[in-house]
Amino acid sequence: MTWRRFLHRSRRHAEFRGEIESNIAHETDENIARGIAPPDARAAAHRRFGNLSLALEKEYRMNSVPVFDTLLQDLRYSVRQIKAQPGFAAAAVLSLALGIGANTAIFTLTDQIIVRLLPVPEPQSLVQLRVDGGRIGSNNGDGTHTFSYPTFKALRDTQNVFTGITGQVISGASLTGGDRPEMVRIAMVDGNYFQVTGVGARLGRLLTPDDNIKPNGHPVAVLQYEFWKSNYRSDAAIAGQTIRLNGSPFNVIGVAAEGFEGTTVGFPARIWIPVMMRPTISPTNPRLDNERDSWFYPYARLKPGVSMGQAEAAMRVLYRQRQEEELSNPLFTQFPQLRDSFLKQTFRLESAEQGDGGLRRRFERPLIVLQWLVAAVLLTACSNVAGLLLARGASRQREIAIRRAIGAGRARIAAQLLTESALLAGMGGVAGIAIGAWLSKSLLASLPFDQANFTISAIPDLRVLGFAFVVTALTALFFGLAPAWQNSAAAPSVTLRSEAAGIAGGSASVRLRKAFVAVQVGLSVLLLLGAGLFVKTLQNLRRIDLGIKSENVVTMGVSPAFPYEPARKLQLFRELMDNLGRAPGVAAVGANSTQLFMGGRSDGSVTIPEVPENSRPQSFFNWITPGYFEALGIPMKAGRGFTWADWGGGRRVAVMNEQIVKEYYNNQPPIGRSFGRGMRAPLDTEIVGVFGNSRYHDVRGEIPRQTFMNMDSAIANITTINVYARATGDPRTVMAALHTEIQRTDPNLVVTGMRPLDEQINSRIVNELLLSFLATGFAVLVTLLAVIGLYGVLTFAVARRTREIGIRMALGAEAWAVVRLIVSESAPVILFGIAAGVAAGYGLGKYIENQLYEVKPDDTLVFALTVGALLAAAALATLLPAHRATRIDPAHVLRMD
Amino acid sequence: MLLGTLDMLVLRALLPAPAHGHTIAHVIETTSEDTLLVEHGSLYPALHRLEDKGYIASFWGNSENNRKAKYYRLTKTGKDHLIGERSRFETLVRAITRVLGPAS
Repeated sequence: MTWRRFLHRSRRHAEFRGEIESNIAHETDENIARGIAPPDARAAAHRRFGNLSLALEKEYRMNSVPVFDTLLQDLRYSVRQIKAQPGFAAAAVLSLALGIGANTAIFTLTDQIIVRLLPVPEPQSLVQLRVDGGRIGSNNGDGTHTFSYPTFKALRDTQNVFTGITGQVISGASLTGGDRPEMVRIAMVDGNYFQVTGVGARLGRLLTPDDNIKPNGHPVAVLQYEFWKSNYRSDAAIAGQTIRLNGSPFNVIGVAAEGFEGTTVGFPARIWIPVMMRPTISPTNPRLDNERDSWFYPYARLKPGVSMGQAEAAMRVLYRQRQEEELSNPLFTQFPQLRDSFLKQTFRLESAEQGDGGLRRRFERPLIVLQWLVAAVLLTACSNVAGLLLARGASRQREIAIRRAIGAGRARIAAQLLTESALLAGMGGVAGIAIGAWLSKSLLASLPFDQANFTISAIPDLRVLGFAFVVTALTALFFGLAPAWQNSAAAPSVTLRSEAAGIAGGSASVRLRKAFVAVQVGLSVLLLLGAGLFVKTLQNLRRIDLGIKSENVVTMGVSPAFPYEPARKLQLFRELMDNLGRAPGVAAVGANSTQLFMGGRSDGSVTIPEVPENSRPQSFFNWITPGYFEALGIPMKAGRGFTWADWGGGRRVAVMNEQIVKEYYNNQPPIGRSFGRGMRAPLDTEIVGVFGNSRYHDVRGEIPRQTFMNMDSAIANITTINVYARATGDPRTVMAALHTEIQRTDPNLVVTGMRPLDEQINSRIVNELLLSFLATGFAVLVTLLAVIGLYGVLTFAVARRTREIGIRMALGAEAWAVVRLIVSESAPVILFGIAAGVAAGYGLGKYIENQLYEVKPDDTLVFALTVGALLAAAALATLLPAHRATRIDPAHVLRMD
Repeated sequence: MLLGTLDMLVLRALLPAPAHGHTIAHVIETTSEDTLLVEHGSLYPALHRLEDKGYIASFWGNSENNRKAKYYRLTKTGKDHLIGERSRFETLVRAITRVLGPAS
């Protein structure tokens, strides 16, 4: 009841006023009727009514909810306070907004990449199978979670600890039929994929084990919900229609439930097809029955009541039996040494409640480091605002003393001060969510993923908003509690009397402020140390000689929309290189089969007759077109590169890099000699040249041994080529021309990921770029806050001790003695902060060690620079107020009383 | 005035017809032959409390001497409440009278 009254209280109040007026009027009428003169009649009516304000007060209490009422009162008071000092409020809200915003931004990513579970029923019971070490044969994918299809099938059909094992492999495929061929991510899955994951159909039906029996026998496809919505406008008639993937027809049988994007976090599968259709999609990979070719990612669901440990033990036995069967492969009799290595494999299960964790594994450490960094930023912002509140509390001592003198309790005043903090934090929180959304959007944009196929979102959802709310509430408590208690302590008798001295404020409040500043100094040391280590890491990475001149190069993937005959590819690629080379602004063009710096690799043994069999090298391989070395600026050291005269001639030629020549040919260019690719391979390839060393799949690590084969020798297996075009100027200016030339050469060519090569290289060091950039930004911010905090507290200390300093000077103290007085105020704070920061810094260094590159976690230079920089900043913040203290005029101060 | 009886008297005053605050005070005073004096200031909070409880309802109207006034009307629950209160009060009065015994 009171709530209803409370909500309508202004209307109620007006109505009550009306009633009172009506009562007085009636009474007056009566009095006049009794013969009393009108003015007296009205006065008598008022007397008759009784105590008006008491009635109003009674009515007011009836209309109010006590706690809420004081809260509202406090809020109104707080708003007035904030309006009275907008500068203070702006500083506080801005620092809180930065702190909360940084936290929200990082949490947006942490939540989606590390915390969130797959949107399937009971994700906790999903597991992924993995095998570590001793991999024999060809590996595609991440090299730990992949199995060959025959091995997968054997495990699937004999296990009894799972409700089912399924699996998938992700691939790009061209989707034709729209206005332009389009590359989409498809997942080729085992027939029971949707049953094991527990995902339902939105439309039509999903795949079943019956859709996955005969190789090439089941041209059916299931669409992802979002893809169906965006590409087919949620057309329900899509079921039963035909789409073309890599040129082959597939019948759409249904759409999967909303929200499910597959089992790989961040990278959605748009279309699911049975894995038996793999030979149709990639004719060069028809190896469904090769047990030495691992490319399939299995997932399984634990039976209810079976723990992961139990399941793992049972599966190890099964896997061991399977290995024994696989040992009958002639490979193991031919190379007995492989046997031991093969048997050293360890089979394991790991949780797949979040799906395949490639993204998580890559970003988990950096995100956790960042989450701690932003927590430090927020903590600093809080200390800073707490310091500001204490300072302001000091100037409000008189007001608070008066309020206490007229009867306000300390708790009541503290509550009011806390309300003020909550209001500031709330404003900071709202601004912080906006800053956070912006920051996470820019962060995501800087990640090296094709944004169209990357579904980690920057839009704050309910979880993020909830997080921001909790953080804001904690923030308000943290920075508000101590000052509220401290400031509400003003004892009326003391404060009001000492007013004459001009400066109020107890020494307790100064001690508290110094503690906050020490915390800030410590945090800024910690963040500066982290930033220093990350920046040095980035510098070291940047300093690595990649062996190529990447500045003016544009790169892109090019593939025919459907399978072409080898002869047609030979012709097409040559024509394409010619046309691209003639495009305006393009200086040189070449292509390879394995994309550079993206982690993909192809390696194998090399049979060099000059080297004894047991010490023959492994080398990385790449199949390239003529013009490749010119396009990338890799210098020729001996012999020659490939020319179009080699192209399609049937003679197998190759080029080696200096590293392999140095190690295996005693630095003598082996021009004209022959080698074989593989173990005990026939010597069928002639070396025609030696080129400078360059990096291959990564920018880190040792200089790779590389062998370059002429692309024509493997043309049948090549579907996508990676083109590198050297521009005469800014690489971005030639992109449009390159697109036009590609479409002109063959409209069925699909172009993916066209960008400057430097961008691709940066994507390899994106963690380091992000960490060093963000850590530096946050560290500078925190240091700035700390220095401002220190300056503030010292200025205050000087003001508080003005009288004392004046007297000392009048008694003959020199300027240096005054400076020493101020330094003695600041030195303990700074030194304590620095010591704590350095100590924590060693811990931090250990934690982030694996994110560093050729930097020790206790790098002396970084530590020395940090401490030096902080001391310099702190000295500046100390000497300014100290200098002001020496300018105090004793005569003026003494007259102040 | 006896504590807690104002509510009952107000409800009783409204039994014949709706009335506004001034009239209610008057009715109580005149029918009690000025024994019970109603402080107008406390009458209104009492009226509002009774309205919140649903015993009476209010509407604005014009009074007998043509002034705006807020009229209160007894509701069904109010009537029931009045009957209950009245019998409780009568029991109480009888009990007190018995305890006091005949006046000497």
